[in-house]
This record gives sequence, structure tokens and C-alpha cells, in this order.
Amino acid sequence: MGRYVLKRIGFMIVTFFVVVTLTFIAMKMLPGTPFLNPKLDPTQRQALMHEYGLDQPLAIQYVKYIWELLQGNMGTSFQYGNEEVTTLLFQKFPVSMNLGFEAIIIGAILGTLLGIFAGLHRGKFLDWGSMIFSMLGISIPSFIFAGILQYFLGVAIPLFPVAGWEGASSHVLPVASLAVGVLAEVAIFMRTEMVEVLNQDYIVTAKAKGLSKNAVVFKHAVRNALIPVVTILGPLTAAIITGSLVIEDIFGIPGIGDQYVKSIVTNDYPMIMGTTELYAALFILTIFIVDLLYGVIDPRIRVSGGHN
Amino acid sequence: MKSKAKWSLVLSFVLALSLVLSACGSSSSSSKSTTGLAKDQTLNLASTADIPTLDPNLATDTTSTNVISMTEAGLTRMHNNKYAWDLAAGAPKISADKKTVTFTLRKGIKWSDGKPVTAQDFVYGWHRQNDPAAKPAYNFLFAASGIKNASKIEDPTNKAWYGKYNKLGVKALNSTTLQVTFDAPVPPFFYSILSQPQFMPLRADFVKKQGKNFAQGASNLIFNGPFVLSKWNKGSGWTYKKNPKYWNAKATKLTTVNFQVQTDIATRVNLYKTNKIDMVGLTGDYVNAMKKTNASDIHTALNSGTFFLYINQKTNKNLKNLNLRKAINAAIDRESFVKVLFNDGSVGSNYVVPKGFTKGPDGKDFRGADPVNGYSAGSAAQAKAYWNKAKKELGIKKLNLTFLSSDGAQYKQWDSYLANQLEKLPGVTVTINQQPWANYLKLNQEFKFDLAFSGWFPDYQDPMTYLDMWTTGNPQNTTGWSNKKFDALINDGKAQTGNPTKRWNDMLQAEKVMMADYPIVPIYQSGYTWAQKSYVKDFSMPSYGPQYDFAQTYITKH
Repeated sequence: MGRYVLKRIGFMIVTFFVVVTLTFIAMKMLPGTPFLNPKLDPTQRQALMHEYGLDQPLAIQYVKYIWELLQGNMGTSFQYGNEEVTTLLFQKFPVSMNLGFEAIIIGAILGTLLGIFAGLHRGKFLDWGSMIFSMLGISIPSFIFAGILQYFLGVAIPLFPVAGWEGASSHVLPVASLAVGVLAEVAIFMRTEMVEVLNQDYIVTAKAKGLSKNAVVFKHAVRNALIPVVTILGPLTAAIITGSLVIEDIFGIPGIGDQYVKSIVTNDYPMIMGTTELYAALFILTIFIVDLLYGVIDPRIRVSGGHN
Repeated sequence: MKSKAKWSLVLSFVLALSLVLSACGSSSSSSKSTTGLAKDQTLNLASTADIPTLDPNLATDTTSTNVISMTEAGLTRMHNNKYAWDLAAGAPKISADKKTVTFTLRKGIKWSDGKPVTAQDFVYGWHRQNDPAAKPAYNFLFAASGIKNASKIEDPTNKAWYGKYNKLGVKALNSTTLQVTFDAPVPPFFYSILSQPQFMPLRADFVKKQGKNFAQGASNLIFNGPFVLSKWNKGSGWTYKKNPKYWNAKATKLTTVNFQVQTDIATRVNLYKTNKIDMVGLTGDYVNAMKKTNASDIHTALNSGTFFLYINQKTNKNLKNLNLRKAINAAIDRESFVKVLFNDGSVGSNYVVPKGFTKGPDGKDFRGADPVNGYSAGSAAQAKAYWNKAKKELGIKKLNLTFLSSDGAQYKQWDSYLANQLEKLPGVTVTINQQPWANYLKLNQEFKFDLAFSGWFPDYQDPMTYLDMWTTGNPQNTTGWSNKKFDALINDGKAQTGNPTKRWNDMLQAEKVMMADYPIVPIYQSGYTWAQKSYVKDFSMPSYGPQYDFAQTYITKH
């Protein structure tokens, strides 16, 4: 196990640097400069490129960047008056993480419960009801929910703040808008798994042994049905954290989503790199954790490394 | 099993409960008297963007410029489109040749830390704007004003002079006297440009002490304007407090101004409707919607943004043909464009210098002279006639035009509207090419377009800011148009700073020459429409200066 973890960490570092290098090259292929004021004439723009060292050969810029990065220095943002990228990331990223994780946790728990519930009532009215609700949850984009929730629960019946990110009540609408999709996806997945697991021989055996219904469902059925669900949680987490942009926009949440897109369209090179690195690291780490989690849920998957 | 089935019940219960709670919760006081000042002089606003920077060297956008204008002061301050003496005690002494202007600073003007604002602070601020190491992005305003040596110091190709900011024509004669020298007589717009962030003073000791942290947060700044920035939560908002040390603090009625960053217009409108903000700018569908629901709150103003199409006659030989350019110009129905797509106070324009922007030596608006509402663009029938002539002269039957514009939801609508009108000319097809802004600029400068949608906002309060960019070889003139008569009039206008009437007439003539030749297609002059609570008074959106001016705003009882 220890050797497996070490090997995985080695691969993670390699993957990370491949991402950094590819992003750097792709980013430098974007047309234009970070100096987007139309009033600057080409010679003035060139003078600014020189001041920022952007007129040097690409290879030199790359080596300099990596050297600084290894020392924990991500450079300064062009959009934000030369503010340190690390400072900006530390301010904005936790907000997006917070929003994303709240949505994931609430969505996953409720989705799992709904899936179990539907699976146990297979073919009945409650099953159909839950699944129609889930299909709607998947097909309707989160920003539609956001708009509806904001209008009905923020303006028409002002229960929650229309926008902002201060205090628990301000979390309700954005988290709910994001969680609906997670809930729906997890519910559908969970239901399918439950239906499948409940038809397995070992469930029949467990029932035949005279175990209570609760014991059958929770000890045997749910635990087994959960394995595939954990698989989708990894990519889902990444999708939610990177995809919360529109929700952050609608509810005026000072997260990183909007920032990331703006960095790309404005050629804010250090910010593009910093945000990509953070996302890449997070994604790589999530996959790693999900792999380790398999072992916890299902002993058969526990990686032995071949010989120990 | 039963226990698990209940979560949905719990949820609906929570919802029901919160409905009840909200019914008790919304008890905002609303006494209807409108006389007298409200006790609480707090203004709440939403900004469409975060503050990119508060370093006056790096600020080029409206949000940054606006914050600096409210928290810092220059020699003058714009209010209702006129300049007033701010840190300058009054009109300066002007030498006989009009090339030396000497300002005396007001007595007792102070920074927010209590130290006096000195003439040396101005010199430092102006020098820093011309120091390449401080990476200034808008220093060309110094050259545009004709301040001595500025054009040489700011020209990167001038090796002998570039960056030698010590040679700029500005000097502190003593701590309260500032002398500015010019290459030619001082231009008439100099006093309004002094209100811009680039011309504000900076404290050398403070900037140096802060080093890399300068202007990165509310505590890394010092102020000398009507407000201080007391809080700046990046990404979510900022707060101004009245600056008691500002020399004219008695004119500042507001004690607090809160801004929250809200990039989504639906959200901003919802915040306005729930009384969380006191004013909201309206665009798109919200203009008509709010005109119906909140009619008495609606305000409209014309601003000084002009929008037009570049016509590339440098690499597209067909577009060198005057009749073709006239046909393009006449084919566009500007009135329906602004009415259908904006309805926000924008006006269709067939002119270069906007309305309500500057007054000449005779006190009349530039557009007050003939023609007031712009040149005649021609009817749809005339467009076809021009097009037929052009076809004959060029020997073509069909024409495809690439129409370059920036991307974004609103541009899709505008571009297709304009393309549709051009395609009414038989045989003309338009290919729309929408690009991210950075690439738009690149393609525009490389002349890789036939028509390009563009806009211009003034750098200083003078018609010249709209005109001199069209001279031969000017980097902004990405049309390839060149007209000797126009160039001569502009050069004369620039040389005639000592003779304002002659200069004014030169500019009027220059616009006439340009509008006979159609190097561009003017489309519209933009307007603002916004909703404002009735208890907010003296709030304005001027055509030059800060985008929002609330320096003297007050709140009445409500």
C-alpha cells in the first residue's frame, strides 16, 4: 500500500508538470497581449511588453516561470494592478471550494437517499415521481434554477438575500441551485445500482437468513450500491467546482469562476497559469482520494501492489 | 424505511416555516415625507465589476477611474460636466506667451494621514506617470495636453528622451506653487484634464514605503478627496466614508457609500427592487421592463461614447470607392437600431464629435453649429443608387464584407442587425467575425477586416480627442484613410491653442471634410438609462469625468 501511494504521488507530480507545460504553451498561442486598452498604440504596447519581460523568447519565459513557481511565486496579475496571483487565489478559491463542497455534500446525501428510496419502491408511483424529478434536475441547467430561486425566494417572497456571500442565509439559494444537479445525478445512479444489487443472490441469502429489512438494505444493499456512486463523485466534484461560474455570477459570490474566464479572455498570463495549476492539483488529488476510497468501501479493490 | 421517506416532508416544512418567518421579517420603515435630509446618509450601489487597480499609473478602466476620482483630488474636479478648482486655489497665472501656467494650491489641504498636500506631491505623481519603470498605461494624456517634452519622453522610439521624466515641464516653485510649462500655448481643455487620476498628486514617501503593496488594499492608500476608501473586499465590494480632512468636506453630505460587486444585471435589478441598492443602470430588455414597472425612478442621460464602423480601405481596394462607402453609410437605419436594440437614451449619429460634450469659445455646443443632428446619411433608396454607381465604377456585381466585432451576447444582436441592413443592398453579403477583445484588437491593427465595430470615449474634454486620431498614419486610424486637407486642419488646430476661435473653426471644418469622405460609418452616440430611488438627490452620470458622480449627493427623508 505504501509503495502504491508513493508511486501514485510520483505520477501525480509528473502529470502536474505536463499540465503546467501544456497550459503555458497553449496560453502563449492566444492572440493579442495583456494590454487591452485600445488607446495604446503599438509602440507603447511594445514598451509595456518589454517592461514586463514578455518580449523575451518563449523558452526563457518558461524556464523563468518554472523557476519562480518552484519557489512558490506565481507572479502578478495584469487585470488586478500587479497584485500577487497567490494572494488572489487564496482570497477567491476558498469561496468557490466552499460553495462547491456545500453543494456536493448536500446533493450527494439527498441524492443517495432519494436513489435508495426510489430503488426500494421500484416501479411504483414514488419511484416514477423521484425519477421524473431527477431527470428534470439533470436536464435543467443550474442557472435556470438560480434565476427561479432568486426571483421567487429572494424578490417575490424575500426569504433569502438576493445575492451576496455573508452569513448562512446567503448560502441557501446558490447552494440549492448547484445541489439540484448533483442530487439528480446521484439519485439516478443510486437507484439503478440499488435495483441491480437488490436482485443479487446475496440479498436473497441475507433475507433468507432472516435479517431484518433494515439490515438487508443498509448492510448489504446500500454498501454495495455505493461503490459506483463514489466513482462519479470525483469528476462531479471537479465539475461543480469549475462549473460554479454562472452561479457565482448570478449571486455575486466572490469566487474564482468568473475570474478564470476573464483571465483567459484578457491574456492575464500569470492568473491563467495560477488558476489552472490550482484546478489541476485539485483534480489530480480528487482522483487519488477516490481511488483510495474504493479500498475503504470495497475490500476487494484494496490495492496490494502485487506481492504484499 | 418510513423515517427515510420523510426528508421531502421536512423540506417542505422548512419552506413553509420560512414563508411565515418572512411575513414577520419584512417590516422596513417607510415614512413618506420628502423634505429635509435623512438621518442616515448612506448610499448603496452595485458595481458591474470589481476594482481592477487603484494605482493611478495602471488605472485605465471606468471602475478604477471612478474610485480614484471619488477618493483623490486633482487641481480641478469635474461636476456636472464643468470643472471647478479643487486643490488649486483658483485660476492660475498664465504667462504672456501662454506657455507657462502657475498654480497656487489651496491653504490647509491635507492627506488623510494629516500631512499637507504639497506642490512636490504633484511633481512626484506626474513624474511617476512618465517613468516607464512604474509601467504607466495612460501617460499619453501628458503629450496630448502639450506639456513640455512629454511627447518625447513618452515615445519609446526616441532613445535620447524616452523615460527621462525629470525633463517634464512641471516644477514645484515652493510647497504651494506648481509651475507647468508647455511646448505651445496651453490648450483650452487643460483645466478639465487636470481632474483625471493621471494628474493627481502622490506622496513619494508613502508610495516608496508601501513598495509592492502600494494600492493593493484600502490600508495601502492615502486619500485627499471627498471620500476615503475604508474597506475593499476584493471580489465582493468596497465602502467609502466621508473624508473629514478634505478641504471641501462641508459639501460632502454622504457619510457612507457601499458598493457591492454584482456582475449579473438580473441580480442588480432584483437588488434594486428589494431596496438593497439605491440605483441601478439598465441595459437590454431591462430598460423597457423597468420603464413599465418603475416609471418614476427612470433617468436618462446622453454620454460621450461614440460608436462606429471602421472601413478598411487599406487592404480592401473596393472600399476605396467613395460611392461604396456612401452606400454602406446610407444602408444603415440608425434610428431603428438605437430604438429597437437600446431604447436607453442612445441616439443615432452621423457625426464624429458627440452632442452635449464640449462648448466652443462662443459658448455653443460643438453640435450647436450646423449640422446639429449630424450629416444626412441618405435613405434606403439613395443607398441603392450609390451601390449601383459603385458597382459600375468597380466592375463588380457581388460583394462580401467581413464584419469584425468583439464577442459577447449583446454584440450578436447588434452585429446581425447591422449585417441584415447591409445585406439589403442587392448582391452584398456580410460575414460576421466575432472575436475576444484581445484578438479583435490584433486583427483590427493588422487590417484583417472589411468593417469593424468600434467605439470611442474621450480622453479630454475637447473635440480634438475624437478628431486627431483620423490623421494619416495615426495608430488609431485603422482605416487606411488619408486626406491632406483634413491633416492640415488638424495640424493647424493643434498649433492654434493660442487662438481658441481659429482652433474651433479648424475642428468644425475638419469634421466636415471627414463626413464628406466617410472613412468610418458613425452609428450612434450612447446614452445611459438608470433607475434611481426618489430619495437620492444630486447624483449624476456626466459625459466627461467619473462615470458616477456622488461627491455631492444626499439622501432625503423617506
